[in-house]
This record gives sequence, structure tokens and C-alpha cells, in this order.
Amino acid sequence: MTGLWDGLLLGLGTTLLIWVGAIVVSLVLGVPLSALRRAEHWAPRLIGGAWAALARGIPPIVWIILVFYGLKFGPFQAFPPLAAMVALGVVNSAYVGDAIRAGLDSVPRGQWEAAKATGLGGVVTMGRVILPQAFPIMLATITAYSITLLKNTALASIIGVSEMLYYAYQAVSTGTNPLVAFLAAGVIYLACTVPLGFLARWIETRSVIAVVR
Amino acid sequence: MTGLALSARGIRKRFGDREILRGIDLDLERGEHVAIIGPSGSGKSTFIRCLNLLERPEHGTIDLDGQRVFDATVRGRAGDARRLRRQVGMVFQSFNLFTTHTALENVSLAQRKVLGRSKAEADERSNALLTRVGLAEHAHKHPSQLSGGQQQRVAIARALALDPRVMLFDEPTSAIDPEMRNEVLAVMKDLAAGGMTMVVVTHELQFAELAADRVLFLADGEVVESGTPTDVLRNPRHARTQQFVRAVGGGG
Amino acid sequence: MDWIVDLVERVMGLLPGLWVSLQLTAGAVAAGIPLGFLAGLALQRRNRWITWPIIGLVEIFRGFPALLTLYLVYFGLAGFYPLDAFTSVVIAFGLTTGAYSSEIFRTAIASVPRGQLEAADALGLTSWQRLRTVVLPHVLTIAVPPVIGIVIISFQGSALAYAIGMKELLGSAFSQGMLNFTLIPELLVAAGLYLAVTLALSGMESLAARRARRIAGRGPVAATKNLAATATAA
Repeated sequence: MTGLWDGLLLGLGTTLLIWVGAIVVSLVLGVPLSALRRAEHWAPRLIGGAWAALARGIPPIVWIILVFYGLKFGPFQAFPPLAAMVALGVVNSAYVGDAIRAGLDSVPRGQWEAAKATGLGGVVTMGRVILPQAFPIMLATITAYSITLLKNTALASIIGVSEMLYYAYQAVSTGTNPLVAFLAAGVIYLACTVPLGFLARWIETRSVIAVVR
Repeated sequence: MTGLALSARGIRKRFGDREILRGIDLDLERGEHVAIIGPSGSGKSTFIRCLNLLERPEHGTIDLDGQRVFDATVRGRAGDARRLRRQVGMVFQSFNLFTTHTALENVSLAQRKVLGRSKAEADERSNALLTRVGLAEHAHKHPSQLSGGQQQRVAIARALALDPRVMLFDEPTSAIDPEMRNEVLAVMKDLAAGGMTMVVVTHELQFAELAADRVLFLADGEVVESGTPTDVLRNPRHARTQQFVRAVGGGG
Repeated sequence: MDWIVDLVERVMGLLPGLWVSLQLTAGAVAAGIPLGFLAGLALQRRNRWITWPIIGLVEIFRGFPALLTLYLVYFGLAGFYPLDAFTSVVIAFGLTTGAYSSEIFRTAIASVPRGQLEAADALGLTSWQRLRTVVLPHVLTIAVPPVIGIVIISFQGSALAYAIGMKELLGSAFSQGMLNFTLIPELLVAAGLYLAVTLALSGMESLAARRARRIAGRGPVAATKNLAATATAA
């Protein structure tokens, strides 16, 4: 029995690693994506829209398999979790990009105009005026999507990455009762996702207050 | 006809520890039109909602055409309120039309479900009613496609569809833009002229003066003054009434 | 020009797999949506003995990765009663879909404007008549867009059935690709098919949302707008 828990905890480490990696990738990709989608010109908007459609329209598992088998060189070969990180990061970038865009759009037009009128430059405007207002809303949405991302790390088990679900699967194939193994893994997933859910909702209520004020 | 169309006695209602209605009496003759006026919080809406039991008074009785339909001391049966509501129609401040149905369906719905009329029968009656309120061409529109004044007229038709003996109006024009109020008031005047027994809670003092037989001024859950429109609105006896009429009348 | 013929051939080859995916989606949705509706209805009650167990179940199936639930059903229940892959997917995704959609229906049912309920009462309708003529049409109108969102998620989730050996779209693409050493092209075509169906469903979702706004007004629809999105976010 202890073998199962040891395995699951080891797997949890990998799960969290992939999760954080994917979040980083999605943030890195999400920022330019949001810029594309908020552009004045139709061409960048179209590209942004296409990217979002691809990222959201293709199932995460398909992305993972495509990246894994498609990028069979160097670091991806040596380190399968990387493929999962990149694939899931790309998928999540669409949601992150949307969250950033929505957050920025939620700041009333008046704020941008007032900043320009008082002669504040672009960077300062962003940093001191716009982001502080947009940030709480962005954070709430991104946190909510991070929960889905955490659950999606389980898909990496299909390409042999030894995260939690993989360990549970292995335990079953070596004789552990499937109900026990998978429920145990489930409990750990819940221990992660439920608090995250509360966090997301808490941030949301606080951000509403901030905006209203 | 057996005398009083509607008789409400000793109506008391509290919400939590606040007593909203402190014992109100109302006797309505058949064909009489009573306007209830008063400041916000006076309990006028609560009172009219007690008349069709949307609010349940803690104390008091209600008789319809001489028959007791409500007694606070008696535990009623589930069907009692429903039976009462077939005889008493209500028009709400916010219209409350069923948004997923067309105007025609709104008017026909209760006829079919409550009175058991066939679709053909109900629709024929509905069309007649919609024509009467001036909305025959709009029968197939959804409420979202109608203006406030139009929606309220459909609401009136819907309430009339069950052939009620008494019609209750809870601030029927308060949520309508001023330009459209007249079309609703015209329908109400028409209804009054036709002999319908009506109780109208309203802010429209001019309408009350022209169309009502009697005016009740409610404040703090009690009837402060009651009489003909001329008495209450032109020559109010109580200071409270004078205060109110002056304040509202000034604004027009 | 050859590549067009090649593309068409590949698409044709994957159609049987796509059909299986669609069947899986239909099964999951047929099982899950009614479950979600009943849960949403039950959650209107104030009785904690009713609402807390339901909330608990909802949180569990929203918190479990869908793949985990699938393994749990396929391998776990197999001890008690041997289940074939298709049924396992329907049960597992039915539970997941039910959990996600319960929040949609709970909000939709709660958003029926009180005034309309009062008007129904004032007309003398019974509770049952009121449910059928006022509550249900309203709920069905505004719940449709986010429910289509759930259908999209189910469709994408059907790809997971590959993990238990079903020959749905991803599985077919994989096996055909391995067979002919053309894995990447097959996967790309499969990805394209997933995208096409998803876009079609998204289009339907937008149309349904526009219709719902037209009929039920902006308020109730806005309340359900983000539900499909955040539903997946546990």
C-alpha cells in the first residue's frame, strides 16, 4: 500500500512540474496573443483569432501527441514532460490571452484617455494606471483556467510521462485494486483543485470590489 | 348581485418585526373604482398584493361577492388561493409578461391551463382582447419586441382573459416612460367605463381624480383619509394628506 | 494537386473514426445533460440534506481529470460488472458532463425572473403548470448556449477514449499513421477534423446565445455566459 502512495507522491511532483511549466509557456505566449487580438488592424487580429481557434479547437490530448511525435529532436526526445508542457501551454495560451484581453478591456476607456491627457507615457500608463485595475480580473480568470490545466496534466500519462495518473495506472497493472489506486489519485487531485477553486472565487470577489471602488 | 364585490377587513401584515399593514379595511361595490395613493413604504403595494393572496396577511378576512375566500385564522387549502385568483386579475408594475411566449400566447396561456378552453377558443378570445387594447397587429411578437406601454396593455389583456370580477393594478404606469403612459391609462379608463370593479395603486393623481370613484390615502400602513377624489385631493383634511398632495401635486 | 487528393483520401479514411467520436459525444451528452438538469433543479432547494451531497458529487467529478474518471469506471467497475469501452465512456463522461452542466442549470433555473413567477401565480396556475409554461421554456432558452459549450468539451474529450483502445478519431489516426508510417500527416488531418466540428458547434453556440438574448433579455444570458468556460476550470 505504501508503494502506491509513494508512487503517487512522486507523480505529484511531476504533475506540478508540468503544470508550472505549462503556465509559464501559456503566459509567455498569452501576452503577445492578447496584443494581437486587441490590435487596431484586421491582420494581426485575424492571426490572433486563428491561433486561438487552433489552440482551443484541437483537443489537448491531440496537441500533446502531435508535439511529442512531431518534435522528435533534442530536448523533447530526452525529456518527454517538455512536450506535455509545451502542448498544454499552447492550449492554455488561448485562454490566458483571452483573460488578459478581457482584463484590459474591462478598464474603462476614460482611464486610458485621462492618462494620455495628463501626458503620461505608454509604459507608465500601463504599469501605474491600467494594469493595477486589470490585474485582479485577469488573475481570477487565469487562476480558474489553471485548474483545468492541472487536470489536463493527467493526459501526459498517455505519452508515458510519469506523473500521478501514470503511477496509478502502473500500480493497477501490477496488481493494485483499480478502485483504490484511482480513487487515491483522485483524492490528491481534489486536494489540489478544490483549494484552487476557492482561491479563484476569492480573488474574483475581491477584484469586483476593487473595480467598483 | 349580492352587494359588495370585494370586502377586506382588518388586514394586517408584518415582514420580520416590521408591521407593514396595521389593519386596513376596504369595501368595494360592484363597478366601483378605487384609487390607493400614498408615499413609498406606506404599504399600498403590499395591501393590493394581499387582495389576491400573493402576500398572506397574518390577520383579517377577504370576501368576494359575499363569499368568504380568506380568513387568517383558518388554515387554507392549496386550491383556495388559486380559486380566488381566477376571480381577481392583477396587472403588475413591471408587466411580468412571459418572455418566452408571444403576446397572443401570453393572453391564451391561462385560458387554456386554468379555464380549460381549447386553443382555438382561447386564441379567438385573445385576439379580441388584443384588439380591444389596440395591439391586434402585435399578437405574434415577443415581449422583448414591444415597448413598455405595449407590454402593459398585453398584460391587461392577459389579466382580462380569465373574465375576472375584480381587477387589481399595482402602479401600472410607474415603470413606463411618460409618453407611453397615456395609452395604458386610456385602456384603464375604457375598462372603468365598461363597469369593471377596479382597485388601482397609483402615483398618477390626475388619473385618480378623473377616473376614480373613491380615493384612499395610505401612510405607514393605515388608511389616513378616504373619500371622493375631490375631497381627498382638493380638500384634504389630515395634515399628512395635505403634505403628500402638495409634494406630489407640485411636481405634476 | 496531388496533395488535395491525398488530403481527401485521408479524411475519408478517418470518417469512421469521426463517427465513433460523434457517437461517444452523443452518448455522454444524453447521459450527462439530464443528470445536470436534475442536479440543478435539486440545488434550488434549501434543504442541506439534499444540496450538500449533490454539491459534493459535483465537486468530485469536476475535480477529477476526465481521464481519471474514465479509468475509474472502465477498470474500477469492471470488477463488479464487465463493461465494454463504449459504455464506460458514456458513464464516465456522463458523470463529468453532468457535474459541469449542473452549475449551468442551477443558475438558469434560479434566473427565471421572479415577476414572471408571480404573474403565473396571479393567473391561478398550479406549481406544475408554472414549471412547464414559465420555468422550463426560460431555462431551455438560456441554458442552450453554455450546454453547447459542454457538448464541445465532450467532443474534444472523446479523444480520451483512445486510452482505452477505442477506434475513435484519434485512435484511427494513430493506428493508420503507424501502419503507413505517416503518423504526423494523419494526426494533422485528425486535428483538422476536430477543429472543423468544434468551429461548427461554436457557431451554433453563438447563434443560440443571440436568440437567447433576444428572447430572455440581457441579464439572465450574461449570467450563464461564462459558465461553459469556467465550468471546465473545476
